[in-house]
Amino acid sequence: MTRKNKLTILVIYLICLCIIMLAYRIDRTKKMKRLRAAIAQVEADRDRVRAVEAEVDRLSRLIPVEAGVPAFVEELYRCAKESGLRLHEVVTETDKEKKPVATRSGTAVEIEAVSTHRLKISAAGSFRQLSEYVRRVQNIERFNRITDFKMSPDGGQVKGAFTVELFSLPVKR
Amino acid sequence: MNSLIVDIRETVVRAVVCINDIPGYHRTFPFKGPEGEGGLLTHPEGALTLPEILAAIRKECGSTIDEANLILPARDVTLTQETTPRVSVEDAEKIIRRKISGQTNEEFPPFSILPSTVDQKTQHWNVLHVPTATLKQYIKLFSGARLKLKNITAPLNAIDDSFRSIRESIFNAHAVFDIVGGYVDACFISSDGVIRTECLPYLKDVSTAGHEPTDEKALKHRLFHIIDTIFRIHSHFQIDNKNIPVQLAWVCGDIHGLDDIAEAVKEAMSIEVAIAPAMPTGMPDESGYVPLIGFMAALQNGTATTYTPAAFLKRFPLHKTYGIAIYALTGLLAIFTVAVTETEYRRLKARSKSATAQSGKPSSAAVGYAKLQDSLKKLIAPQFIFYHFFRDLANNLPNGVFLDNLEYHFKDDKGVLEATARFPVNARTSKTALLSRLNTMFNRPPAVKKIAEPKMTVDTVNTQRQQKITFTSEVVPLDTKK
Repeated sequence: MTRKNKLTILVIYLICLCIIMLAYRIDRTKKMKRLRAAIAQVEADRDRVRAVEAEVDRLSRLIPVEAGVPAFVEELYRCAKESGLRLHEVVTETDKEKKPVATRSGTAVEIEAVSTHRLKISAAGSFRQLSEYVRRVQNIERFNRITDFKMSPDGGQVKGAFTVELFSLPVKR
Repeated sequence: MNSLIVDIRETVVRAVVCINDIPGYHRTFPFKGPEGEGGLLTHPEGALTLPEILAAIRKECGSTIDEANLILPARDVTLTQETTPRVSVEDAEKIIRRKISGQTNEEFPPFSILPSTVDQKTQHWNVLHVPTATLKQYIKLFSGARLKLKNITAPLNAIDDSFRSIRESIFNAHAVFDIVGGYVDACFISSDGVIRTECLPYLKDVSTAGHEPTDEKALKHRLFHIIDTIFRIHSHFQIDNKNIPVQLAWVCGDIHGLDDIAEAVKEAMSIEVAIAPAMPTGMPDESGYVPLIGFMAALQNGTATTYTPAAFLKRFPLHKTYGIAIYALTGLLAIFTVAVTETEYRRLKARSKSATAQSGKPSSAAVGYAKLQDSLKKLIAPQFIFYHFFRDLANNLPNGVFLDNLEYHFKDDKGVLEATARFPVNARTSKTALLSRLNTMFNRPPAVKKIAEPKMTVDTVNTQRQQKITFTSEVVPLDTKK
C-alpha cells in the first residue's frame, strides 16, 4: 500500500468516525433531552398532585362531616327572634342533593361527595329587621350560603323569601 | 553564510570552516572517540571529545557558524554489497529500501546506493545505511554545542563527491588513498561508481597518530608502513578485480611528506600517482581535507548525498506504530464515548420508567385533583355581605323612590342582584338627579358592578304616572384576607 493510499484511508476513517460519532451524539442528546423533559414533567405532576392533595385535605376539613340541619334551623329561628321579624318560617327540601365534585379513592383521604341541604325561608318584617336577619344568618358559625332571596313590599312592610344551602362532606379517614 | 564541515575518523577529526563558501579556517584534532564496541581501546595523545573539538572550533575560527555539515565516521555507516537485476537507480533504491526496512524495522531507513560493478544481467551496488538513531544522536550532540547540523554524509559519499568531476574520464579504475590519523582509507573508483573500499591502519600504536616524527629514521619507518599498507590494499583489489587495472592512484591526507609518499608509491607499484584534490581550490594544505572540500563543493552544487531522519510528517501517521496508535486511540475514544453516552441514556430511561410506573397517569390525576380543589374552593369561597348593601340602600335611597322588588340569585358561581325602583313622574322631581343617584347605588365596583343597562318603563298607578327602573348588577364578595 502506498503512502498516499494509507493517508487517504486514515483521513476517510477519521472523517467517517467524526461524522458517525457526531450523528450518534446528536441523536442520543435529543433522546436524553426528551427523557429528561418527561421525567421533569412526571415529577412536576407528582409534586402538583401532592400539593393539591394537601390543599384538598385542608379544604375538606372546613366542610362539616354531618349536615346538622336541626341545629341550624334552631339558629335561624333564634336569629329571626333577635331581629324582631314578624313572620319567619323554615322548610327543608326533601331530597338532599349530592354534588359529585369530589371523588377520589386510594388516598389517605377518601372523599365521597359533597351533600347540599337546601332550606327555604319565608320572612316578613321591616326592611331594617330583614337586613338584620340576613346579617345574623351570614354570621352563624355553621358554614352556609344564601343562594337566592326575593324581597318585595307587603303593606308598608317587606316580605322576603330566602334559600339557604348547608353542606356536609362525609369523609372516610 | 558561514558553514562548518567536520569529518570524523577513527583517531582524528578534520574541520574546515567556509566563510561565504570559501574555505578558511581548517584544523585536524586528535579525537577521543567512543570506547568499547566499535571504538578504539587507546587514543592519540591530547585527544579531545567531539563536544570539546566543536567548542575549540567555535573559539578558534573567529566567526559565527551558521550551520554545520558532518562526514560520519566509517563505524557509524553500514556498508554492504547488494546485487539487483539491471534496473534503474530508482527501482534499485526501492528494492534495497524494502530489504533494509525488513532487516532494520525502519520504515524510512536513511540510506544511499552507489553503483559498483556491472555484469551482463546484474548490477552490484554499494549500499550505505545510517541508522536513524545515529543521525539523531549526532544532531543532538551538535545541538548541545549550539550548532545546527544541517547535512550528514558518509565518508564514501564524500570521496565520491571529491572525484565526481574526473570520473567520466576514468577508463579502468582510479585508486584514492586518504592517509589520515594512522589509517589508509582507500577507495577504487571507476566511471560507473565505486568498485571497492578498504581501510587499514599503518601504525601499530594509534596513540602516536597525533604527532609527526622528527628524525629521518622515524620518517622513513612511517613511509615504509604507509607504502606497505597501500601495497597490501592494492594487492587485495587486484586479487578481487583481476580485469580492472588501476590506471591512476591519488594520494591525499593530513600528513607531512605527501610528495615522498606519492613518489614511493609510483616506484613500488609502477602506476601513475597524483596528489589529490583533482581540482585544486587554492586552500592551504588542501590535500589534507580532500573529502571535506569535495563534500562542500557537492553541497554548493546541490549534488551531495545526505542522510536525514524521516520527517515527522513523513513518518506520521504511516509508520506502523503511529498508525496503530492512532487507530487504537480514536477507536477507544469512540468506544468510551459510546459507553458513557449509553450508560447515561439507559440510566435516564430506567429513571423515566420507574417515575412513570410510580405515578401511574400523573397528568390525569393532577387534572382530577385540580378540579376537586377548584370545586372545594368555590364551595367555601367568601360570600357577599348583604348587610352593607342593605344599609347603604336604607340610608341613600332618594326620597320619593320606592323599591318594588329586590332579588338575588346565585348561579354558576356568580351572584346577580336585580332591583326594581319606582318614583312618580312630575315637574317637581329632577329625573336626571334621581337616575344618577340610583345608578351610583347599583354600580359601586368592585363590590357591586352593573352588568346590564337599566331597563326603564313608565306605568300609570292610580292615575299617577310612575317611572319604573330595573337595575341588574353582579355582586362580588370582597376578599377580607387582602
